[in-house]
Amino acid sequence: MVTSAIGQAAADREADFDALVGPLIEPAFKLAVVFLRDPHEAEDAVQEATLKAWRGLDRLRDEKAARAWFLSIVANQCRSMRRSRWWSVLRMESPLRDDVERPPDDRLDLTREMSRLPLTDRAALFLFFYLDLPIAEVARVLKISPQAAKSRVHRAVEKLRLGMEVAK
Amino acid sequence: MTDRIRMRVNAAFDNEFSRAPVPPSLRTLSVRAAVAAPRRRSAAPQVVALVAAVLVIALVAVVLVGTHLHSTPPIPAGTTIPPAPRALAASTYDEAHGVMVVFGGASGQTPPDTATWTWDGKYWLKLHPPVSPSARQMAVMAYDPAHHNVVLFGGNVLQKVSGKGGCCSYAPIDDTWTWNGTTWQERRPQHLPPIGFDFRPSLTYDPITKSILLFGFTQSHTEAMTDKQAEMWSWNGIDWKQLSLSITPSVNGVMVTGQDDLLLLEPANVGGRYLTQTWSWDGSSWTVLSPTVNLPPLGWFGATYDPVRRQIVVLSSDTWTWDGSTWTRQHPTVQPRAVGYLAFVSAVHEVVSWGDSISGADNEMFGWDGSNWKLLEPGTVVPPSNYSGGAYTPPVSVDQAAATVRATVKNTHPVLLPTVFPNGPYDARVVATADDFSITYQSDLRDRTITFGIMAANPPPGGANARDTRVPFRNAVGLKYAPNGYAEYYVYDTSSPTSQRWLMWLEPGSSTNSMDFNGGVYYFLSATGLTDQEFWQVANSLQ
Repeated sequence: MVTSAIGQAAADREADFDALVGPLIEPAFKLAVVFLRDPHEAEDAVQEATLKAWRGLDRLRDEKAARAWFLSIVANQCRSMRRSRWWSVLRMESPLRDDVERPPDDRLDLTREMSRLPLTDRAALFLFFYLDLPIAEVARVLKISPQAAKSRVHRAVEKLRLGMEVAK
Repeated sequence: MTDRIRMRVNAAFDNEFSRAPVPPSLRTLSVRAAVAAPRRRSAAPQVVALVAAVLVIALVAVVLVGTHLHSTPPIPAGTTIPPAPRALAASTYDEAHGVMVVFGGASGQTPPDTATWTWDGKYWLKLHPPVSPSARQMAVMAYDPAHHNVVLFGGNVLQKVSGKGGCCSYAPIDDTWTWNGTTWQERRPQHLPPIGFDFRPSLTYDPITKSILLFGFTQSHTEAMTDKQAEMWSWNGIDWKQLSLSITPSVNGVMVTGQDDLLLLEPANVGGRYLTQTWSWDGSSWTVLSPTVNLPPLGWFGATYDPVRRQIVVLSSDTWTWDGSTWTRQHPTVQPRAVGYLAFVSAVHEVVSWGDSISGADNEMFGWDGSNWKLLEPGTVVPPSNYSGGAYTPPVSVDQAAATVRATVKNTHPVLLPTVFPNGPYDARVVATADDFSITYQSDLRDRTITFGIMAANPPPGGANARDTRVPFRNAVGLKYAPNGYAEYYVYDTSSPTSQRWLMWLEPGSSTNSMDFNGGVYYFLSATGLTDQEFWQVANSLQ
């Protein structure tokens, strides 16, 4: 009986936490891919971030802010992984990279131009355009001011336009 | 921002994400693993419970010891059960006490810890020094025979990020500690090397100047890390001193101390070829050596000196030894699944490799007897089935690789494979799915490498001597960058006859995977160490 009650409590706890962050796992994974450019590392980052979110759940005061809160943990985790895993730099220097699509047409040219952007600019584009987050939330996730977030998105778009003109 | 821009940006992201689909079980696994972990709560009740538990355990221990003191044989100081696997720990061999020392690192999904472990050739011992460096990973450690202690420098420590919802990030630390076999002592040198930990620095003993040397790069503050500076520092037991060198290696390398010499192994691109250069230290400057056989690109590796066999042992995806003048690739029948923490341990008279220093996925102990690796102590964890430890995927024969590809790739047609391999023999490492594959063929000394497969590659651009041309090839489907019947051919350094080179084209065919198909199937052939003629022998042999 006691075991069953504990089991029920654990199941409830899991269900509650899943209701909070479960829907955010997919966007979190994509954000991690944007940062890390490696699906396996992105998977690790999301799992680690979810653990940190669970441990820091007390710090979430308002469930409406859960999305920015969780994505900011994911972004932090990705930055940490990039900084601590120096071998990823070695890998980038290796002669072969098959992680980025080679663009065969105009549509995919943008993929190439975007792959050349600084990661923080790519992340800003992803959050603003792909996830459709308001600038204030983009800023919270990236831990920068709203003005900086706005200018980062604008700057990235300008760079893309310039890059595409050069490509033509 | 217009909707058109949004659509195009989103389409580009969709294109990127289509190659990295969300793992179906990620949500369940992430949430379940997190909920299974303890939450941080008020410490007071836990402290009370902990104190009570300690008292009970102490009481029981006193009773048991009192009862059995005269009847039980002496127990060894330690255990044969190894510590939990850990990544990015610091380790070295403490000659003064005859033990391998492992400090910190991160175990599983937990943050780095402050644990100090030793292994004497048989027993592991977790020590409880009164003082320890803070929890960290990527610290570097070396034994200092001049002062009979172990020196530890820096690392990355977890720090809180200010602001709501912030959790933590890693930050470099530049402190210096010594270990005397019993406790840690923080040293207070007058000078602090400003070495960062974007790249792991290297710390080792220099038998020529009889001091500890630190080689690394300053912390970078830009995305591209172009502002990093290489620096070398020397530790005399009291203070650090920066060394002024006429030539400083410009890429992160690993120093390894031999019998009475010191080498630096550094990734390099020479004549359009990627390899690992061997530098020699004369006490004041570095010189690049030109051994008969160079090391290939190593990726993640470990290296240490074997005084019994008078060889430096390098463990990467292969095992290499340095006899003082050149490198030899060894052909062990057994190889550790991962690159572990390497040290020569006197008690077993062998170089050992413990665990998995890159991803902390196993804690097995292997020993190197000069010709083969053998398992000395089993681990306590079962690595995942797809585990390669970041290091070792066993090579197979060229024919076995071809058979694997033919049997596995079913959704994409045609499946082409090279049938001519100049200046062989080659072995092969293959990765294949139902949609695509890649095979890396390597010569025995790894000085010739051919990579071939169905892949939409994006190789990096070359330098001033690079040449990008369109060449008639098969009946390739036209791309924006190559018309019908042509492939893109790229040579990284035209002044070098055996430069890295590649050929990319769209082969007429079909695939159920849209990422492998764009009116044709993406094929990519790359080689290094082959002449132009040899490269085309391979390219024209596809069947």
